[in-house]
Amino acid sequence: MASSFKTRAKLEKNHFGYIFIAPFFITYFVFQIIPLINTFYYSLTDIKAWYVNPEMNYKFVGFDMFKMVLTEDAFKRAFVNTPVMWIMGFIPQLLIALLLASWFTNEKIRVKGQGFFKVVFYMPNIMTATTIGLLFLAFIRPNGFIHNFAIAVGYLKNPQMPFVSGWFGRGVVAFINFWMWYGQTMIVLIAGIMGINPSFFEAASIDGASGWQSFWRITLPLIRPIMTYSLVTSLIGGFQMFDVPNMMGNGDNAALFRFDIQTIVMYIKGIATEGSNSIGKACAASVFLFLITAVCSSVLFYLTSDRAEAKAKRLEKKRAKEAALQEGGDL
Amino acid sequence: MNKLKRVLSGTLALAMAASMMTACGKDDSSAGNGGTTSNGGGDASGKQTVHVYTFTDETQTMIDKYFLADEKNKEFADKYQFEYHLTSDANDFIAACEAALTKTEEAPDLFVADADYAQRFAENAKTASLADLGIEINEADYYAYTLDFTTVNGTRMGLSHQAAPGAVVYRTDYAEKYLGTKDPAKVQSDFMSSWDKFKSTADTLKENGVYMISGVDELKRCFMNNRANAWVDADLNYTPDEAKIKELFEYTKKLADDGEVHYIDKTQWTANWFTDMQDGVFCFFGCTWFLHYNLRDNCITSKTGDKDKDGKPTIAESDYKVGNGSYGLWGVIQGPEPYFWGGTWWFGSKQCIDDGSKDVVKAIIEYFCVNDDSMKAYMEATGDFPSKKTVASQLSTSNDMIGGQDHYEIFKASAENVNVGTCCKYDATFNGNTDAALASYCTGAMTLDEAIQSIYKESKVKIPELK
Repeated sequence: MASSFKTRAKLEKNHFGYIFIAPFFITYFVFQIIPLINTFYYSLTDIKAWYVNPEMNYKFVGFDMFKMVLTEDAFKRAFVNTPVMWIMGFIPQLLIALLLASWFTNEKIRVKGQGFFKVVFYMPNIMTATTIGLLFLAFIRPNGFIHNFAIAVGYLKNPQMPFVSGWFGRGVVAFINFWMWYGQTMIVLIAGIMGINPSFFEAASIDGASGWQSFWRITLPLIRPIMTYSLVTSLIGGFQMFDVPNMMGNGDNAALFRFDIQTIVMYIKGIATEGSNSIGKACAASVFLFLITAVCSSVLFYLTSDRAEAKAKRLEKKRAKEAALQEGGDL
Repeated sequence: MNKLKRVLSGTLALAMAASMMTACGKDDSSAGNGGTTSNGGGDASGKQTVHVYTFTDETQTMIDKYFLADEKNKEFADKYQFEYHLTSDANDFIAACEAALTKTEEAPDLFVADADYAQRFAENAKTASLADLGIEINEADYYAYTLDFTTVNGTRMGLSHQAAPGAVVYRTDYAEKYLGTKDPAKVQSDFMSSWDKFKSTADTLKENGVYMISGVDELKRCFMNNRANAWVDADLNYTPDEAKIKELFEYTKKLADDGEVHYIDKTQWTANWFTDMQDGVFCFFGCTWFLHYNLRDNCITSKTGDKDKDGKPTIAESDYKVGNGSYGLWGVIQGPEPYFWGGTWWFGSKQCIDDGSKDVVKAIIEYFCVNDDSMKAYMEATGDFPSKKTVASQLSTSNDMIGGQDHYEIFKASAENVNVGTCCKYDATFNGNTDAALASYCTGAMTLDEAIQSIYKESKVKIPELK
């Protein structure tokens, strides 16, 4: 009796917390959950954008829009381009970030001017993607310096010809993404490494471990949660890649490899805001994007989570439960 | 050391922030994509705000420097202030303007459209008809196509101040040197009157190191305006004139393969296109407004005017002289086939009737598109070509940019031949995809069949109802 009273008092004390976290959940509900549900709903209709369809007329078309999306070359292309460009950018991004992070945190090296380098590496992330996209577009266009360089070294035989290779275009987009984000990843990883108890490194070095060994045996395993975080957020961001490739391969800036750098979000945006503004079809494509992202994130999460540890935890819980049951039985 | 670091990183961050600020500033020479500018003195003025949605900075110039500067319109200048919403990318502008039309806050009172989407805007439920605005016109005075273009079920919706018949603008100095004559009539008849002659002229110029055209998208309008029918019929059946499209693609590719196109790329509206106006390229498929809106400022090389905010010199009035760049070294002829390029249609919205700014919207449209005197004054000041035959017949000029030639002579003849039967409301989508397909074909990234197929496939993505 006495104990239950105690519990209630505790709860009453805590419920102010709900008020403090409410704004987030309300915003999240209004601006994320409702649109998310609406997207699923409208993906089954042929609705047009409100500004070409002020009466909001629509009819249900079942899975027609999904079928249409799946059969389109543009979707298949975007579905390949997006992860390819993400992987091309993310692998160097993670490697360089990891390397820099371990250098900056290494007590033996003690890099001088760390603050300066951190700022410099982080800086591309501050610039807007639009600016960077336009800048690189000017570089690779005929008369741009990269184009002129390619002619000078003989990569381009005909100076009138622009870069047409799709892989070149993807490479440029991947490079920009790498260049914009490795600083950010580096900062996150540094934070992760700093969180490791220094006595581990000390103990390792006393036992005669080399820098390489302590990196592989201590740093990497212990920053795995942070790595997972980087990987999953980057994956989600990667699937939503839009600004840089859109700047380089759309509208007046239509570079020649526009088909090879079209991403899923560019495809969705094109359907929703151009032509006949078919929001229904854009929603169907968005549902695919949602599913793909959800599946890939879960797979990544599963692959990178420490399964052995989770298993041990589960086992422990089970044992504790059994023990508790046994105790209850004894009573 | 720590302090130095802090100062260093602080400075760098500031420099970065500052560079972002300048990047946001509007650069007149490039196509700034978006932005809102107001000519009003702020909130204190108590003036009613008129929202103008446009895809070109020309609109603001026209209203501020011509309409409001006119003594007769003083009452409007006192009563209203104008806010300009500029989005230069066609697809973004359509979306922005149509979305704004559904609102009441900052909704367009007056908006303008390019040929690619004028029909679409005319069909918009929020567009006011000329009758709604109280504008009366004498239809016989106009070049019929400028009216028919925005007529929906017999109701006239918008008006254009300009007719935009196309022409070929060529370099007289190259013609004299390599073709043996710079006389427009002779150049037209002997070297440019058919596509075959055009090609052999290109061959001659190529031998002398002069490119015929700047980019692969130069010829498209001339071919595409002469198609048998529009991209789609009324039921959205896809009806391409494949023969004509093939002709355009193969012809352009031939020029590109023979090294007669400066860049095997889409160059229109890019820096390379504007630079080519100074040197090295023989002709441009320009039209009426191309002369004063694009060529005039870009053909000159030495600029001696005041410095702009980036420290680059602007163009002084005295820079427009023969011998500066290619100024004065141009001639205008009809070219192989008649065509038209764009045009600007003005629309009033139902919003302007509701919020009481109808009088000024009506006055602006009448000032540029109906009233003979003010229309003529504007055309004379800019060299633009009017949508009214009655005004066109009064115009003649000696344009020293084109060697003293009277460009109105050429345009008066070609304006009668404009064929707008090839336009539909989804032209922005179709034409954009044709550009991309053409460029892909000319570089060899796609075969002819793939390129032509891709126009349908890519358009179908954005217009799912397409049959």
